[in-house]
Amino acid sequence: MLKTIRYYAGMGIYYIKLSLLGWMEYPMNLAAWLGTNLLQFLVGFATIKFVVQEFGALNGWTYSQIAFLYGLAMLSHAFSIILFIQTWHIGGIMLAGELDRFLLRPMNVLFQFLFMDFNLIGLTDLLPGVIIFIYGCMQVRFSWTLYSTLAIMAVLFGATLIRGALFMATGSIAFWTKSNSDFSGINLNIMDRTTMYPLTMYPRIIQMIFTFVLPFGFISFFPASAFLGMDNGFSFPSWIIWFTPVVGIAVFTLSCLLFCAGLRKYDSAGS
Amino acid sequence: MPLIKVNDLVKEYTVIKKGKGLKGALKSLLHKEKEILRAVNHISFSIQHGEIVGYIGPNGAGKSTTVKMLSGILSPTSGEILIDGLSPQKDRKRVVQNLGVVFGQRSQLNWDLRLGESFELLKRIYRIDDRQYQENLAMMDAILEIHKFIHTPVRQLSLGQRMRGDLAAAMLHSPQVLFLDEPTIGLDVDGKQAIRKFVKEINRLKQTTVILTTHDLGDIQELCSRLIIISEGTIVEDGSLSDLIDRIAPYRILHVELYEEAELPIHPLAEKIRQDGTAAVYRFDKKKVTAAQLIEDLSCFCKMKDFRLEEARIEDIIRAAYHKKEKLEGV
Amino acid sequence: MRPYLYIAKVRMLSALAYRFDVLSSIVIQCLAVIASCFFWIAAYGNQQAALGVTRDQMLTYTVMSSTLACLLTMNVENRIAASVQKGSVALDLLKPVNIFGIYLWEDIGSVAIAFLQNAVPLLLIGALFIVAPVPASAAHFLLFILSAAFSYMINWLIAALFGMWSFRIVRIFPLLCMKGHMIRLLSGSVIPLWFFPQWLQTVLSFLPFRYIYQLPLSVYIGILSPRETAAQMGIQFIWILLLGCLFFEIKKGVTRHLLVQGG
Repeated sequence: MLKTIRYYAGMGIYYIKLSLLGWMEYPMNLAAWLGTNLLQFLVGFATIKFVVQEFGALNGWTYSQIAFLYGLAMLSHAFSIILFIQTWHIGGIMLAGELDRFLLRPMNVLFQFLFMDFNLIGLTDLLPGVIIFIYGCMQVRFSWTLYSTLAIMAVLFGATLIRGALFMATGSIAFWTKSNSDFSGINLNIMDRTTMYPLTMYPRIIQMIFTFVLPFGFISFFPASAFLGMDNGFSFPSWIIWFTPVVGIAVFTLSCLLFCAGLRKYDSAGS
Repeated sequence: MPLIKVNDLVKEYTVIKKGKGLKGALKSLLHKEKEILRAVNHISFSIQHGEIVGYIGPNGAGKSTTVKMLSGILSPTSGEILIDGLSPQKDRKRVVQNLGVVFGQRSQLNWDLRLGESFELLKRIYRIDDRQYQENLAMMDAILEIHKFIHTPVRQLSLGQRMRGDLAAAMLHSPQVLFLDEPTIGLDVDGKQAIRKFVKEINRLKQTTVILTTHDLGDIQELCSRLIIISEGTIVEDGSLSDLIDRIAPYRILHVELYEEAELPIHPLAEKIRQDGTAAVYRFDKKKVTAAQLIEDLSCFCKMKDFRLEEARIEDIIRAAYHKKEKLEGV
Repeated sequence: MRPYLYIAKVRMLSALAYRFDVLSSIVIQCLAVIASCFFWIAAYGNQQAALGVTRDQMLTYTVMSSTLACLLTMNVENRIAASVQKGSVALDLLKPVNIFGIYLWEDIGSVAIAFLQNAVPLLLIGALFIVAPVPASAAHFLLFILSAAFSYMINWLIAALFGMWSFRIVRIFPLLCMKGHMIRLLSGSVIPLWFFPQWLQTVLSFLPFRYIYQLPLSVYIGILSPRETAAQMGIQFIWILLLGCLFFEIKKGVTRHLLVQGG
């Protein structure tokens, strides 16, 4: 058991080292992605800065509060891009025959999926995420206590898993459709819309969907409203913060099961 | 106990029949017509330690499906596979630890890394200890001369170099069994020779059991001590190439040319097919009479100017086996 | 003309073949536009107008912006990049038909298909759930069509110019993403530029981006005076000429370079 954990930890680190080597061969590429991602965050930031400031508030949320919400959301976005971007391409990897290669190695297939081409480019998402989060914290004068620090960490952990679960679940559909359909656009779009702004601006039914069916409300909206004492539409108490890691683990487990079911399906049918 | 044991293996695929044209497309939207396709149909064989087996057959015969099942990528519909006593489906990780697989069409090497770095990665994946790794690397280098391009990024390697790299990569963890799927496809003459030399050497030095699928007659003739021929999902032939030749094409043809026209006799052990003036053609069973004997016998009757022996072509023999013909026509 | 029309037709047929991707692109666009409209509804709150634009005008602007966005999608940059990466670019440039003409007509074929399969559902969904996106008047509508056609040319030329970077840069994808974000931010497609600080608006009026989205959309909702409309469409046309000249210059340079270097 201990030996297995050591093996996978060592392999994970080694894969990260390899992708570091790979990216060092194209430093311009890294710079271009950094510029691209900074620009992308600028689009989101300009929206809240210019529009929300012009109107004074968005559904009762001030500009500063939305900046905090946005920063919190962007951090887990960056982590999920670093850890789970591979699962966007399950269809492509399968059709290229790479999946056969994974199956030929004495190693867990999901582990290979996640670490094979470790995405350091995701770090270029992290930098603007950190900047916006720090800015948002300063704007709302977030009080850093032991409790709030732990809570933020738990929220980031859970939120990253919720995002990863969505990537993995939609990616796993390829096992059944045997096609290379790309859900990343739709996923990123939906998550942007549900994590950057207060969910309460949507009709009741949409709030319900993003709470109970696709629990994206737990990524940033419920935690942020609890931290800031804002109305979350469901009168959830402030310990709803701690639901984020629970929901994250639950949906991530579900999507792992889906992935495994897909892999078994692949086993019996091939590509 | 055989190293690989395959018992009554079946693999079925369900395919959805698609109608033709717009009308058919609409119809298949409403009602999907399913069809079961049997790619592998009750196959059984066993392979002993240290054999080199050619697993051949026409395209679509079920070769890759079998290899994929043997290596744990696909699950069989029914039947049993044991590799060194373990099922590749139930014990995937343990079985593949003992397996090397090379696909001629796609590489397992990492495109962005140097060849040596790819090896280092495999060393970690397969948990190869330093001594064994160094030993194996030295041995691979002696056969394949990989040191010349070990520091080159894989994307810059030629096909022949890449293939040699792939073979070495597959053998680094000293697997007992090596699957080669069309290893010489697209290679030049030297490249093919290097691959064949490698297979022979690792078989001799490490007693590695090799199963290769190929369409290359050179591979079959030079490497395979045994052929398993599969056609339309079933095994049609299992034995050595020479046995196959003896059975399917037992005859040889002797062309005789005389100085002057003379009636040639009928030989008791050879059939005279035709004679046009000074040229005559005999067909004989090589097990019953040797060519030398036949020539000696015939030269008692007339003065021979020239003669030429004709053998059945390997290509024709294998094609006949694919089509389940008992005897080769013509020769 | 004949071969180009045929190319446009083939493009339309092959676009229809990817049914799933088509369906998902329609769904994503409809959801996105509805979400954007909720954002604006929440932002306006009880206010009827902001900066001289009413809530309904803003919603029309948003729906029409998404509609225009799906008509302005193009493939020219990816086609150039693919041709360079495959190494077939030298052959492509020497073909008896103008390769950029082919790309342009392929893209125009895509516009026709995008109108039917993306724009029409978007407009319907917008009309049903949010606000009927009606133009200020028939004259405004005609001017919008003309201006949108100009937008298309500006957008196409910018895409083609970015595509030309692939001759210099191996991994062009992040650069193309950057271009997309730049247009999203600076053209008024997501947020109208009148929300931006004055100094930024002044800077942006010297760049071509605002003439891609903001101008035709402002014409559509009728917030520009006839004089402003005429002046801005004049500038829009000048941008086409400028970018066109730049494009032909660079193309000439690239072709010469390829003929000397042989790809």
